[in-house]
Amino acid sequence: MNLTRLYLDKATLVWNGNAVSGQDALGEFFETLPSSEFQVHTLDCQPVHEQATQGQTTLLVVTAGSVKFDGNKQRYFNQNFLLTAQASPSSDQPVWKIASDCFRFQDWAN
Amino acid sequence: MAAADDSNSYNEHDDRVRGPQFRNRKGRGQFRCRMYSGQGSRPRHRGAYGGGGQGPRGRFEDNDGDVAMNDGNSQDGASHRRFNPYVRRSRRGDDRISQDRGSDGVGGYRGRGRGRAGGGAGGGQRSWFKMTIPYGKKHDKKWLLTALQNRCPLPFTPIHYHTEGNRVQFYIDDSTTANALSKVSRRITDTEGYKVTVLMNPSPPPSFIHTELKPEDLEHLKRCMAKRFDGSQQSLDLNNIRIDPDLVSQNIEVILNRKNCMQAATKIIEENIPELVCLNLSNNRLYKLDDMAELVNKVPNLKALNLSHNELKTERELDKVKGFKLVELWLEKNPLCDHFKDQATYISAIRERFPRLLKLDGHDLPPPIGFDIEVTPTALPPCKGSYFASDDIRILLQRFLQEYYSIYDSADRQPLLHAYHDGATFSLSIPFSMQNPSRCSLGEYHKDCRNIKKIKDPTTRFRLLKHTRLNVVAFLNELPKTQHDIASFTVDVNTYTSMLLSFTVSGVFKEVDGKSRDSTRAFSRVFIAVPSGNAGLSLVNDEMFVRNATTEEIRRAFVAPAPTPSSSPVPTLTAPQQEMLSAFSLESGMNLEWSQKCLQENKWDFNTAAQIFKELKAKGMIPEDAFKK
Repeated sequence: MNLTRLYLDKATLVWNGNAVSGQDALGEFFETLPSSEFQVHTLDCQPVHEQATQGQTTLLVVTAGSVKFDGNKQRYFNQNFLLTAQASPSSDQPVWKIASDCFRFQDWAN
Repeated sequence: MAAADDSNSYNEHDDRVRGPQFRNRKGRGQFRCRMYSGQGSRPRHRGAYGGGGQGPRGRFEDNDGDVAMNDGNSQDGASHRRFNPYVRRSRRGDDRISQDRGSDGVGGYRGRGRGRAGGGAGGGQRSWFKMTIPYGKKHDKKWLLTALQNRCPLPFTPIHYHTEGNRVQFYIDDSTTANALSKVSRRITDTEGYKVTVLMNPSPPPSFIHTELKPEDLEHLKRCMAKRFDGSQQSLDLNNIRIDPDLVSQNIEVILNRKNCMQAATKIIEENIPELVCLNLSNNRLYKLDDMAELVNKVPNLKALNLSHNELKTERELDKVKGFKLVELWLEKNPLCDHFKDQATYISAIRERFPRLLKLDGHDLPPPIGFDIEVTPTALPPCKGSYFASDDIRILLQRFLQEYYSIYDSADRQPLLHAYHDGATFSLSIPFSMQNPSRCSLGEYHKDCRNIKKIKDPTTRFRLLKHTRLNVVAFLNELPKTQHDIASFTVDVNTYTSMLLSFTVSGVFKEVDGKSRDSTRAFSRVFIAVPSGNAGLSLVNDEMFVRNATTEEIRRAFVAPAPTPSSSPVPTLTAPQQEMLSAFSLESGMNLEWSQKCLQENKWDFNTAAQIFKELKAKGMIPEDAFKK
């Protein structure tokens, strides 16, 4: 499945300080990443206050865990997403789309 | 000297499972320190026996050639038998067979033995048995273990062989083998005519399995490993490390088939030589690789692994380390090697686990032919520092964080009320540790951790999500008092619109009171803010992840200004000055030296200094050096 489908058209990813915006750019960026194996150890989420979202149902999802990128050692990461409920063109039910994605290795500076 | 010791203990060990020593002597000393077969004399030696002929490798010729010559053939028979039941009767024509048949059956063991070996891959499911041999102390260890193994239909590895009073005790970590061994009871007659009794009792795992090495022992081990590390080859030689004189003289037992020791070695490797390419673990009595599995993720570059002269009983053990992208592997002199009927089967079973393998036991393998699939990248995009999206947002956020954390780090966090929206929410999370949660020193944060992977109860989930700013700030006030290192902060702006600004802040802080005083923590905190009057921010969401800082983070934390008399005429800075300096450096992007210069010249008035800095920067009057960190 194409990962970018999960993102809004104008979604932003900030990956270890690298900002990538828009589905096409996201697709290109994901292509440059080695294959990976993620393990999510911690998960927390909060409903985003309606004043910030103009009434659009939105969730803040916060995760932490470990990831092993092929050819690299296992590292720990923090990642958070803003998920927003969007009308789906293919269904009557709304779907969650990622509006923003922020990823950082815990030891990125090493 | 070391080589002689090697072969002694090797023989002793080998006798237990395979038979008399003379057969093994020819291997003595040659495997030591040989990481690459090309460097060693092993291939020549092999050539002399096997001649590279039809046999898989010299080892099989060894066995066939030796069968009739020593008592070990019954062992060979035993190990074959597990894989080929039909061999058994023809091999063993003595009266032991009828005894075996009379008991509840070797066949039964065989079946269960297989099942266990398969299940063993899951690890962690070991059950432990303490085997006791009353009056065993009077026997020579080698004699006793050889006698037991000769009668026991399954190969066994005695763990922690020791004497207690007159008894001999050791552990066996699976019920099938322990059962088989207990059936040997009173079948062996010693030289004085007494029957040897073997008692079997279920036992908790022996304590040494979990005991961590003492810090000073770890230090010795680290030095010992440094000595055995060759930086030019990135190769680490842990061959027979338990008899290393540097460890023995300190009375430190490093027995790598024990979990605690393998973990200690893994940690030292991870922290000091993660670029490791070659690892020699030969002669360490390894009989399981469960504890090695952790290493797979720590040393992605490992290409050559020597596991020869160990106790690996099935190739399925290798599944636990098949994540290694091995090019060379040594397995000779492991019981598993005897299970294959020919070289092709052996190679194919091993290559199934390590498809990139080019050399096995020092012999070149035909190069593998793969498919023309796209090669996936392994290089990660470079990591960058803060991402602010724009200068305006950077200035806004730096001001905000400076102010927020100066209150957060003060004795009273109540004034933070101004930073939060009426309907704000807050929650806290910490890393989930499978291991002992009580040992996790994040105790203060543990009870409020809202990890919904673990917490399924809706009421608890609701309680741990703090609603409204009064509750949020009241909760923050209860958290340990802190001092944040603002210079350590990294800020990522996730998203911004006219209605919202979402940003992630990570960095380190110190606890300044309470039980964990002076502990350094790291945090990652997501804030979502809406605009509020006079160009300020009002937080509506706040999620904080707290963990223990790593050694590296602790080393870097709070290093901010350490002006030496030679570099600066100004005496040491006061604490508020240091804090202001960190903040100024973060905001201006200048290094500490130039930030301090700017603040000093403006009499430590933050706003004036910031104003002057902006003006000078706009005119391009600040040298590039000022931004070099």
